[in-house]
Amino acid sequence: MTPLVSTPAARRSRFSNLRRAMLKAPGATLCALTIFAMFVYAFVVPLFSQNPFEFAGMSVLDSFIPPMWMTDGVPDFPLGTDDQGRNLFTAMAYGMRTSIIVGFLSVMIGLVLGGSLGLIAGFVGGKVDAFIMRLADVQLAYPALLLAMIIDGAARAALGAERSVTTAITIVVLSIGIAFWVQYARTIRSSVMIERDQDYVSAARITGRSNLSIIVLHILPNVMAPVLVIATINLGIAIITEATLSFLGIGIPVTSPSLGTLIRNGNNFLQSGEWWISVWPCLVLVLFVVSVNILGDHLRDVYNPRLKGRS
Amino acid sequence: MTSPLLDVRDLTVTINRDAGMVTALDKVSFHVNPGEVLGIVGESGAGKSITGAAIIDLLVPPLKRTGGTITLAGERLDTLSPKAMRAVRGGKIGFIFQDPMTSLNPVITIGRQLCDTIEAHLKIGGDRAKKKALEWIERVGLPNPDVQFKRYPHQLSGGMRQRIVIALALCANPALVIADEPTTALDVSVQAHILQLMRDLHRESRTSMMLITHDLGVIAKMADRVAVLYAGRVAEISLVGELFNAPKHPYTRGLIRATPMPSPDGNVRLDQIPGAMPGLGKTPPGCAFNPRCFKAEGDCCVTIPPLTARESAAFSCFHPLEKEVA
Repeated sequence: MTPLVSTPAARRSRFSNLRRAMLKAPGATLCALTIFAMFVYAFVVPLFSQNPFEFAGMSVLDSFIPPMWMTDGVPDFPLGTDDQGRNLFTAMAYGMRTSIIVGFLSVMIGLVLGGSLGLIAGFVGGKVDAFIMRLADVQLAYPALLLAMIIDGAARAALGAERSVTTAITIVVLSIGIAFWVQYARTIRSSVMIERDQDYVSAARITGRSNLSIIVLHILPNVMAPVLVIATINLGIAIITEATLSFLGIGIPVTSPSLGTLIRNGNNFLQSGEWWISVWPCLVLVLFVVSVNILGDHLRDVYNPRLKGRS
Repeated sequence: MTSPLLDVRDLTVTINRDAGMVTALDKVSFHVNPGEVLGIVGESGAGKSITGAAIIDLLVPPLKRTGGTITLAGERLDTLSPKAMRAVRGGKIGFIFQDPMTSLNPVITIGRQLCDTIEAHLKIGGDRAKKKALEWIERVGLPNPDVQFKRYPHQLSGGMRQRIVIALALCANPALVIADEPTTALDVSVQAHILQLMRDLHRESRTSMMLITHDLGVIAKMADRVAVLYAGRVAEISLVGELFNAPKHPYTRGLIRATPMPSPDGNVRLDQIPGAMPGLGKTPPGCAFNPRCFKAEGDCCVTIPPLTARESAAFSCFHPLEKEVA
């Protein structure tokens, strides 16, 4: 019998478990480290630098400076500057921060919305289930990006032209979140339908628990694992969607940085030789999304017992 | 005679199918006296588990209770609102499930599950509930309660889990415990341990028990009285000794004879009952057992034999077996 109390020895072995897991999946470990580094970049750099999208943070005299290792490069601007003289290194940190926040919040909204609808559909069943799932089917007929654009447009029309950056970000978060609830709802629903008929649910029912506490205390913890994996992968998709919306000019306004607005901004100068303005944010975006996806895939393999011991 | 703890009368459960209503339980009546173990036996599909589920209102659609009364300690259960029903369940009735692999929540420690149940029904606070939970872990025979308390179900073996399920069913001091095939999912040596445990706990607490099983060996070891179910009807109810020595219903005798039993000369005697139990909705007219019964006569195929009481027993057969036949 192995002791389960947390002795120093047990803690040590847990730590070596982590090390073993990291050695076993070097790719996923590398991705996790990349993501971690990007988080540090996105949340630490803005603490020590001025927002280049504010007037005090830029100077038109410094516009179109190439990266520091090229001729005319300046060490003050390691990755160069854009047409307004914004420091790309700090602008990307700010942009990355917006993108990550938007990605996380929209995944949260999709998770909460889709999760609760899926729980209700799976647990209640019958007409409620049919209604929610047909709604999901209808939504699936529209590409998620198009849907996000529709919701975004509708919200903007409703709120009028006068809006702050915060409102714009809120709208983007909501529209991406709503565009992606279906996947969570379907996954949770099917897991709930399996768990619902397990004896431990009947047992909880017999002990006199209400339906709500059965759902929250007993079913929810048992259906979370697959959804969390989907959420990880969707984080990448959400960030891409945000970038796409911003690139198209309907997401985050151009006056505040996000990876999408930076790419859009640089796109205007791609043909005229100032490649660095859009290439850096593109690279960062690709690196981040690929890392998130590989990590998500790895998590899926870890949580899928059928794949255990294979490959 | 003292008034029974649980009195079930004419309990009828139907299945609502597209093609119409199918009767799963047909006017099942029995009672459980205080401190008594009532065994319920029958083949697969005879309605044993449905009987248990109907008493605690756990029938899932398309199953539906359509008739009869259920009285627990003088209180009608069948007319209670769902909310009042919740207070009765668990508080007065404990349920032991068949499969210990699925009847514990896999993501909650067994200590937490025990504490939750104890807190919900005994209305006592965290520390005392935990103390009681530890007591119960010890009582059901698991070593190192402190260690077990923090364990998750997947860290326990089948037998250990079933002990926890038993503790969960009994920890709220219920008046009646319904055990639905508590040993079916376990291997034989563990079965014996669990049965012994249930017998010991029953002897200590004098809780009434309804033991649902298809295993006559379990019945012989545990039960005081036995109800034999066939095709959703009660075939016979009698004291356990009487049932084994002098079954009245031909089906009961067939069931007993179909149990593998080594005879003195070393051969294993095994008699089958010819045919199979009629499926749901295909019950023949008259006595449900008539196509397979060697004593069936004309009247058996026309009218359903009523449950008639004789001395301590009751049976539903027009041509009961005499004592010497068995």
